[in-house]
Amino acid sequence: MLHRVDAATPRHAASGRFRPAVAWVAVAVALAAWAAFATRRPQALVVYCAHDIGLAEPILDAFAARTGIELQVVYDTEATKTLGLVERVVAEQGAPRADVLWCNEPLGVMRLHELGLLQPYRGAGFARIPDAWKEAGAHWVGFAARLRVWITPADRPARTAAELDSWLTAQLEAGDLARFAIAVPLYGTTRFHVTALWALRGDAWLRAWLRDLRLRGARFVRGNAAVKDLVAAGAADAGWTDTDDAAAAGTAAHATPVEVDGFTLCIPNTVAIVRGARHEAAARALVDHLLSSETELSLARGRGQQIPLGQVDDADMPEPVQRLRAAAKRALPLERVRGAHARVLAWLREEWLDR
Amino acid sequence: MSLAAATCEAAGRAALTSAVAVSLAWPLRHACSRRRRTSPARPGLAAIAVALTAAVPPLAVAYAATALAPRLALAPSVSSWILLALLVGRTLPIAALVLALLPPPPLSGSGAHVFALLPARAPLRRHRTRLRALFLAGASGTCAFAFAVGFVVAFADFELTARFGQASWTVWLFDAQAGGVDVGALVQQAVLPAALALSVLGLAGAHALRVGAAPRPRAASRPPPRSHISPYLPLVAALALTVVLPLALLVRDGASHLDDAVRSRAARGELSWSIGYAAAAAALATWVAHTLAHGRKWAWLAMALACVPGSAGSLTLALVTRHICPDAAADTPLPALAALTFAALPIAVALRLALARPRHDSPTQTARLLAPLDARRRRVAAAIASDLAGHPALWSFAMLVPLVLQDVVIGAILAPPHAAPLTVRLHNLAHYGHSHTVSAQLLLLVVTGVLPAAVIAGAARIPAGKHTAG
Repeated sequence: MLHRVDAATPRHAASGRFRPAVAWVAVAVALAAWAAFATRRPQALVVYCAHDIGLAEPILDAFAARTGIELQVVYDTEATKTLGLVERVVAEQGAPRADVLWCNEPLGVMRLHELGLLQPYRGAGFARIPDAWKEAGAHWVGFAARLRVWITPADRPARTAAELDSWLTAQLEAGDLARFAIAVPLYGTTRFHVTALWALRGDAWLRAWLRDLRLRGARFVRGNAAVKDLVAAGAADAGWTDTDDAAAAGTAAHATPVEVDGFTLCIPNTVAIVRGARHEAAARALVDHLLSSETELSLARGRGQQIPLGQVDDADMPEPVQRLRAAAKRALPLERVRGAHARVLAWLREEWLDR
Repeated sequence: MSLAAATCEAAGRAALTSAVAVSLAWPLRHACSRRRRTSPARPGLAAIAVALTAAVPPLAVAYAATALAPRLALAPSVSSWILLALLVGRTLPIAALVLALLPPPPLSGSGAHVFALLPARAPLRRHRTRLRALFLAGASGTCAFAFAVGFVVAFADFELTARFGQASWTVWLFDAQAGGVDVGALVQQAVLPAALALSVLGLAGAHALRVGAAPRPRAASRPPPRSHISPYLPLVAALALTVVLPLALLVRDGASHLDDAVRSRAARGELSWSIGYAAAAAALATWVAHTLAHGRKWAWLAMALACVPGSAGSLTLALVTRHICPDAAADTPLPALAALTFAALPIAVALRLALARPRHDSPTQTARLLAPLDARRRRVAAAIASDLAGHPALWSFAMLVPLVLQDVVIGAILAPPHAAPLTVRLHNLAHYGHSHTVSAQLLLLVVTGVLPAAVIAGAARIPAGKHTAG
């Protein structure tokens, strides 16, 4: 009688060597050892940062080098935007891991403040920023802002905001918006944009207008960078994006600040200390660092061309930022959007996900 | 758009993608496994193609597509077709590999043809129905399984679909979570697409297993068409689209900036965490799939259940894991590792079914007959059988590593602050479009993903030589 050697499975091939119980124990020991080894270093300050790595990392590295404070930074992805980190703070409220939250727009910290998840801090940085850009109770502070802009191809003459508004109205009436691009407004700075429209023109106007945009074929893409790409590539005649994305297009596009009822839309970065932060002293030091004139000037000189909100000398800023700063003086006060953002989000969710 | 509509659109696109991929891969099924006659489980050309395709992240493919043809990629009328072409390009090598690795039908095509030529009154004619059923069942099992794997891969795509502005359940779920929908509601919503993916994979797997378990005559496989180039053309085109062009762009822009890619200490740490997650999750998923397959009575049920969490998609999986994860574990890499393992399990199970199915070719039968009466020769026979089986667990591990390495969502949501993977940084940096640093880091990620397959392919040659010499 022949012995059977079945090559059907490795189990048979390795007959006599396979010991499931031993393997399970070995895996469990290895994972436990890894988890123990990889547990967070308790002394490090944890920063949740929704700003672009390329711009934020040099600033955070400079802080770590100057103070000797160790940082553990969690960045957001382009896909999950600020909301990813905001939702993470909400999810972790029972056992907070983040000490400092650096958002690239204000709606996220407004929501966290309403949920009672931020703690106040009135430091040197808070004092430096004008009242219009910070929460009165010092739960969050804005700095280094961007403007919402029209972006148009550079191979055509630049147009004013009024001319572009007229163009959009004409396209809307003609029923052809295939060459107008806008990011999906559920998240990011486009959500701030539609929230501002809601605050200024009312919900009925916004509902009808956004529905018209969709029905007439406006191109809703997945981010402001995609809007910039469409226009720079000549696949769209105009779109709405932010100044940092428009700056990334370089000479391929014109940028004109969006104006709504006489207001420009200025969107600051925001910083806040998370309630229950485990490293409060270090967190305060970082908040002051971010709200300093050095940080604002560094962000103004970077490729994002962000607009300082605190006092700085105009001569220290690049010329394009000086122009943007002038436009930012006509910005819609953040207070105007504070009461609307939750209702806008609820409506957008219904409008975008259920139809 | 509602979830149901987005799921239907994604399912239609995935079905079309997979059908085209399997059709194009069918003529390649012999050509892709040159060593089939001596070592049926060695994947050969198709495995290399799959490893290369899997090693190039969708982010790199989209990055290249928009860099090389921005106007084309952004025009609304053609973006859906570009997406379809890219998905076919990424699915075709997988279909070719599955077809190459599955056993041939119980009755070969030439056998069926010869049978048809027999005189009407020949005695063998009495078995006509039985033989035809064997041929059709074998072929349908093979095709159905390849189709199911291709379907699941295309159906689960998020990166390319979102980049080209098309609707899909993955995009819908992302929008919903970004819009603040709570986890419970999201999980309920994810049941529909998860059930669909699981049903397709389960039905095809069950069909393939049933066909594979049926008694069958010894197969006569058709020799590979060595003289024809045409069967290779679709594979070459797919590789050009999804591997060669993106890699060429990455090499052109990033090769001379590799030092920039790891200049920052944080980036070096993130790369090491990416490798750690990928190696651990791929090993665990492979091991779990192989362990579950050992159970005789309930193996199919255990494997199907293991696929359930991963079928819901990375985003849902990450959110659920975050929701149920105990606080004590949240500061460790274990939740991310667990989610990555579950996300990899459907593919690990598919690979287990494809790579380690019972084989009835002559070399394997010979190895069985060689099983002798004394222990020494029994060990030799076992070693030969193991070599013929082609180390399916190692190949499964090698193919899973790059897939896990490319994950963004799970790492972004679950990785603790000190253990974030490199992909989160890459997606953030890609915000500003093309740069030498992004290209260099993507290139590094691709090379890292290919390494296990290259090492295993190299090592697999050593024991073969030893047996020959012995």
